[in-house]
Amino acid sequence: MLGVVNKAIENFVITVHGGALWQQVLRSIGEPGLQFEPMLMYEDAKTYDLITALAQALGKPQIDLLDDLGTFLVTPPHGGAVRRLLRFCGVSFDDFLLSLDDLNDRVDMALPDLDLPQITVLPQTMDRIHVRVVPKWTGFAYVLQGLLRAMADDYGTLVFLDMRRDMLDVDCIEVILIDHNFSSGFEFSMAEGA
Amino acid sequence: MKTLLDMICPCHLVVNEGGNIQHLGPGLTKIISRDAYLHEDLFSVFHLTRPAGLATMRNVIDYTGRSITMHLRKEPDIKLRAVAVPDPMSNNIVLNVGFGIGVQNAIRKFGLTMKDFAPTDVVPDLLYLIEANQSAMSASKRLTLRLQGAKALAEEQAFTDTLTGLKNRRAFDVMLRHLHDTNEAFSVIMMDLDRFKYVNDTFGHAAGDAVLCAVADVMRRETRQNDILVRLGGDEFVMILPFLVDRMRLEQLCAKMIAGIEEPVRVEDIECRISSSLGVTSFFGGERIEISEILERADKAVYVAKSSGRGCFRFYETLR
Repeated sequence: MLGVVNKAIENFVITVHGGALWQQVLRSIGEPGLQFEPMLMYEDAKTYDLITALAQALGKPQIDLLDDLGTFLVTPPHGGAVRRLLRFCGVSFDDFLLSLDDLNDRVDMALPDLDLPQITVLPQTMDRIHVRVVPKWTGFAYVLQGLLRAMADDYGTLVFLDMRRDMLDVDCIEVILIDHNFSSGFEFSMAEGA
Repeated sequence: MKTLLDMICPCHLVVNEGGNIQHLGPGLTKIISRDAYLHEDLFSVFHLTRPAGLATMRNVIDYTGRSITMHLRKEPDIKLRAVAVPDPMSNNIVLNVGFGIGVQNAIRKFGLTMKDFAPTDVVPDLLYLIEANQSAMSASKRLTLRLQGAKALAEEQAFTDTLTGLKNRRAFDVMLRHLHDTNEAFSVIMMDLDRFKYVNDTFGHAAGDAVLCAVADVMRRETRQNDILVRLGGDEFVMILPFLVDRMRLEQLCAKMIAGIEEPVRVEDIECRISSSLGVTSFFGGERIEISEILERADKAVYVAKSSGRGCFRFYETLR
């Protein structure tokens, strides 16, 4: 897995739970003092070890932890850059949701080595949309769920999210759009620093 | 027709045959206020710079379908690209305006949003790419910087003298401390080159470096595998000889070293001749002695050798 994934976990833990806990987690996976390089490759197992150790240290179910991580990824100030990149995908949250079909192509253009699990959007009705995540990275669907919730908030849309399994037992997030103009959301200016 | 154009190309304007602005698309009203510019003259609002000679509506119509470069007279820094097409239903001319490669500046300047571009416009994707590229680039740049830092640190922590391939002062300190702590018998031979400064000053640094390398070769040739050979810096060399404290063998070694170093070194067509003064001190283990004392003894012996006429060696233990 590209180091940017581990680096994101590192930033998340240090920012939300503090450097001491992060060092404790590193020690428990036998890598005291390790600093992840976003652009270098690491074994997938390392990432899973981190998540397992972290959930244990926090006494929290892994899925809740991954959901929090997803939210953190797109929440300014730390998640500001990713949030901006995602806001380019659509004018409104439904636009954005439908554009998740292109997310893999977009990510490929930015970080060709990341090789994100394939995401497919399956619109059921206008207000009920399924987002299917190929089971490549265990638990990734929960990260995406946390991210979608934060993005809905950013756009000012009220949504209901539910993790399901499709017929092939693949993780599938059901998004129900409840109110498109729930809040005014956050400003998005296309030019950075404008 | 107006609504249709407003949606498909939000940054357009409609002028009549006389050049009078009839309508501004919603994207353009961000750039120029509708109130101030409606019914104004196209040429007084915009400066059409390329091609040259677009001075009348007739010229513009003749240039139908081709790329026009222009800018707002009040914003000459922001280049606009336009295409003009006559509307067959009326006598008006439609100009669609884009920002070209300077789009980021224009967006910043005019506060444009995604809604100011047609849904099919690639501008948002272009901006996405620019930002994604900048993020990835800065991550790569940080990695390179860190690697450079690590390399510098590794060099600093290295134990090798890059010129001669001998150990450096760092290594010397570590190894001397190790020997000192293990309480084993060992000798130290300190060497100072004679006439090196003359060679360096007369024949240049390249000759000086060649001489230093030749000295290192003599040291390697005359010593055992486990002896520690060090260039402390400049023309100062030192050898640590573990377990070698036999006076006779040390004398033989010193004599061979001096003879070896006195062999002329050829650098291109110059013949460099130097010699060396050696100071020896031995420790038999079990003595409580400070590391600084070891170096002082060796230095003192070198000093005496140098003042005894150079090209010779002295033992600290027999200094009077």
